[in-house]
Amino acid sequence: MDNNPAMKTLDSAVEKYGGKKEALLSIMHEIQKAQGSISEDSARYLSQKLDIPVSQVFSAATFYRAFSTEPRGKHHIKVCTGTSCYLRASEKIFERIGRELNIAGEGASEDGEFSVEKVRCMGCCNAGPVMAIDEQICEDVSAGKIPDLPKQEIIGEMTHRKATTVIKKYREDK
Amino acid sequence: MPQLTIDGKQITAPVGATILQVARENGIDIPTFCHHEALEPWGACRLCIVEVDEGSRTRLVTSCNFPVKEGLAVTTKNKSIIAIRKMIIELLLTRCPNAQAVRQMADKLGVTGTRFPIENEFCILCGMCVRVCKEIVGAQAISFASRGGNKKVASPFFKRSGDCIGCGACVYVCPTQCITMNDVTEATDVYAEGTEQVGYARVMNNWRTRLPLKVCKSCGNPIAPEFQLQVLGKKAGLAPDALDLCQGCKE
Amino acid sequence: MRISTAADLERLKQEGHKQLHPDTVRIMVGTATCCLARGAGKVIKAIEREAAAQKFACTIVPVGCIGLCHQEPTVEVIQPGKPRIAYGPVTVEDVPEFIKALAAGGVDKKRALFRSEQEYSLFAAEPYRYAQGAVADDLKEIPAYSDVPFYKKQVKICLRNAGTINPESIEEYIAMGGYAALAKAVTQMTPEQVIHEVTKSNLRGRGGGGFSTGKKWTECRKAPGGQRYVLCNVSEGDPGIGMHKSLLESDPHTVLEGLIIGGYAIGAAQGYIYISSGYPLGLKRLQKAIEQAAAYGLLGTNILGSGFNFTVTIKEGGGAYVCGESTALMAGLEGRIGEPRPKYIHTAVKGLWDSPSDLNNVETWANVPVIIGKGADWFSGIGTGSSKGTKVIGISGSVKTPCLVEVPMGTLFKEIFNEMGGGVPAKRKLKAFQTGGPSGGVLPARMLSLNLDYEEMGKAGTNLGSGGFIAIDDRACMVDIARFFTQFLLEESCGKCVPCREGVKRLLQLINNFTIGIGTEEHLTLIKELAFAMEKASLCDLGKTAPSVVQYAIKYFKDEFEAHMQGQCPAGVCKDLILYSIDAKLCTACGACIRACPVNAISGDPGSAPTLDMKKCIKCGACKEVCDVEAITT
Repeated sequence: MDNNPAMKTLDSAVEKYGGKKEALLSIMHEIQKAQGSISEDSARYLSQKLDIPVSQVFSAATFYRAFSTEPRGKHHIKVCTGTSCYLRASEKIFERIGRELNIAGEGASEDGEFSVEKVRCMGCCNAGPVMAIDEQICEDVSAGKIPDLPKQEIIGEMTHRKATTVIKKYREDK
Repeated sequence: MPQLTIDGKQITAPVGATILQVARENGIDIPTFCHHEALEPWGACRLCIVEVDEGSRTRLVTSCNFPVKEGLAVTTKNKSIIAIRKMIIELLLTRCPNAQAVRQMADKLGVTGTRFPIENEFCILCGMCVRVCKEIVGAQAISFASRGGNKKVASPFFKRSGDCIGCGACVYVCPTQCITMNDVTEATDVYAEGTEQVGYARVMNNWRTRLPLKVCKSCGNPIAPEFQLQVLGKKAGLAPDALDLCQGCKE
Repeated sequence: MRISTAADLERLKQEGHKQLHPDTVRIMVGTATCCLARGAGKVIKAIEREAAAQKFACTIVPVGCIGLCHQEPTVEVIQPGKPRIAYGPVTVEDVPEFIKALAAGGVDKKRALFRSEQEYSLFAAEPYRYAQGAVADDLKEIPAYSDVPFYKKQVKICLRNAGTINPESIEEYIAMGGYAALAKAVTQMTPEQVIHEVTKSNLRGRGGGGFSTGKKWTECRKAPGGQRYVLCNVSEGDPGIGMHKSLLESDPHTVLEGLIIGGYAIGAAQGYIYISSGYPLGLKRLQKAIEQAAAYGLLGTNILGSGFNFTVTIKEGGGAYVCGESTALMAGLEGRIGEPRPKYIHTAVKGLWDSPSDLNNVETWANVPVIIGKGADWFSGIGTGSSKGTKVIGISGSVKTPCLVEVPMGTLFKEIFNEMGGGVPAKRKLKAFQTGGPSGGVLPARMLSLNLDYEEMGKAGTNLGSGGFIAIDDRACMVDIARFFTQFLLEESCGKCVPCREGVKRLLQLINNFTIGIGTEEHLTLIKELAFAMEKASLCDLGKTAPSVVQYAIKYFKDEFEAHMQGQCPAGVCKDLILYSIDAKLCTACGACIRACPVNAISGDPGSAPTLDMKKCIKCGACKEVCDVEAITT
């Protein structure tokens, strides 16, 4: 057992799956969810706990899109680039977010507040283009709506207002 | 034992053998780039593609991992196969235009150049290094990283590999010689406060790994990486001091 | 309580029935991910609040998706003794008025979509009637379910319970005849009889391959070895579909029941469900379904007293398209990276951990309980000569009413697109449609006359894939579509074999030549040559089908490639070939574009058309998006 809180998450994730080697991906999912990435330290610790080479953890962490080895921002934005959303100009939404938050391509902003990634289909094709901020789905987004404060449309669990306020406030603070 | 034909030649093959094994034993040449007799077939370079006729249907398969069967009729060369092999080597030549092994293979297959914009890689991602490290050495010090167009071979997090024993098997199997290692007599550690000489070391350049070499208790010459001797000694169940002397001094 | 006999199951069915048809008003709110994205979660809370405020006694139940995505959030209401009525969209703002109408014992006619007199049920001998006698006069103006064009041609097998039951209630699933097929299989049939029935039904893989499910099961059952596995794939991440997700979120038990029956037939004691990491709600509901089934003894040891033992484990996938490939999926299940291996020995013989393994897609499994429950003859009575049963189709892209439907095989795409999807939106023209995802094809609009049939689609150069139908209108550039799918494959290729990894890279470069206007006839020839090698020599189906979309784009939309050779992008999509300009004649000088431009490239005085500084313009299209009069042209 380690007293470091990050490693405690790891311990409990390993325990949850009975320390089984074949549960590697499930355990990595837990870590990714709790810590936002599979860091080098986590990977090395995990390799010890499961008695597997660290190269196997690294390989999986870089192969699967669900994991990232780079830390994510406090707020993680996912932009759907499935076919349906792509046809509705989701690429432009992605570019616009990058420009507003000063992030080149996928990755995190310098201060670690935000990170953005393109994801495959989020399964809301009929409500597209969609994006999600911290797992809250925003439907029918457009590049133009990103910086502006639209009307108080309430959409799903998340409002455009909330989504864009977060971003706008961030820009003003800068 | 299954009877089959390869390019019309009647052959009796051992059970469980692959087409490639049987063909090579019978002097029929099939080009390969990711195959090594000591390793499990991998089927990634696709150069060894052949056509098999199983009676009910004809299809293209990789000979390195296709098990021989009774009544199989194998064709190792025809128009399609040649076109495919040429395209594969052209793709590799695009990726690694300066790798000697690739150029030789291209020559052999009659490909003189590439029609695609070239890159300047040396690794063809045949995976032999990764596989030898896992299957033969048992260290799994390196692996593939990423996927698709970004796939590469790497040590974990592109840093020093704690599992590498510096055996050099990866260097030995690499067909394009893009993995290198060398022994240095005076390795230097650099710290903020200054530098420290650490003596003999083996440097695995691609894996950013440096392993101190153990010196012979008797003559003082380097034997092998200390970590390697530890690991191998433990595996073989040797006494801790069993590997203290170099081969020369032992005799 | 444990269900140990068929009689126990019957007792539970009665209880579930009471739950499904309570004495109070039952308000059912669609809560699949798509519904939630449209605010269903808030609507439930608003209904709860409003019902309490108006002292209106009702049972509020989250249900699955009824497929009418454009009407979401949808709410269905059953008032005892009256027909079931569907409403939509019901937004938070609508709730007070909506509840007021219901509390008064009436109907909210403004939002009513259709009424159902009886429950949609495949298993009930006599379907449950919500209302007895003739339809009340005041309800006649609300269309009957059977008259709604959207549902007219649909036949629901997999989605039979979607929207009716609470997906988190096993009792409600049982009330609809659930787990009776499992009881029948394990107590009255031998495994061979089950396989025989599935083979006879002619059920084929719904993941796109179309391989006979019965044959696969037979091979797996007969393969030598002790331990064997049944696997369910919920990870075929075609970009642009939501069917798997919706199915799992609406009725997880039908998938689970199918898998248990499969386990019995094949002789597996362990099942795995591999679910993509992008489906958190489906995962949650599936987990709950497994817990409930286990609690009743429908999973575990000695299921229904038959001596058959079976457990199911969920494995979350890592988000890799290649894991739709069976060997890659199995590698993922073993905790390794999803690299496929050759299938010269079938996975049915040597699969997961080298044991015989049967892998079927989630929709395939969902069909199994119905085949066993209603019999193979009933099932094969639906569909075409060689394609039997139904297919769940997600219709999205450029359609008036995006939706999720389940139609018999053999249905014309025309019918699906026009009658269910509502056709193209106003002012637009349908150019093409895409099925089968990146490994499928793009077909021109005229080919909507094709029907949903494995063979016919194969001949046309596409496949069913997992059932996504994406309409592409005149605003899209087919060269760009080809680029999009190739880019997708470059990122999703596992990178193991040369033809796929290097081939896709070069293919993308070749297509990019066209998007920047330097493509030539030679490039097209080279694409063809490259495609041949990729199709023939790639290790798995991802690589083998990788050039498919590109090739069909060239075949059917050659004119667009030719235009790009001349430096023109007719649809105005390819950035390097277009310049934005403002048409002063159309411009109303509203100033919206000036405000929208993120780089201040547009300037002007009020009252006259603004000017665009080409040096600053980054071609983001923000101005075009906000212009109401289409004065921004490319």
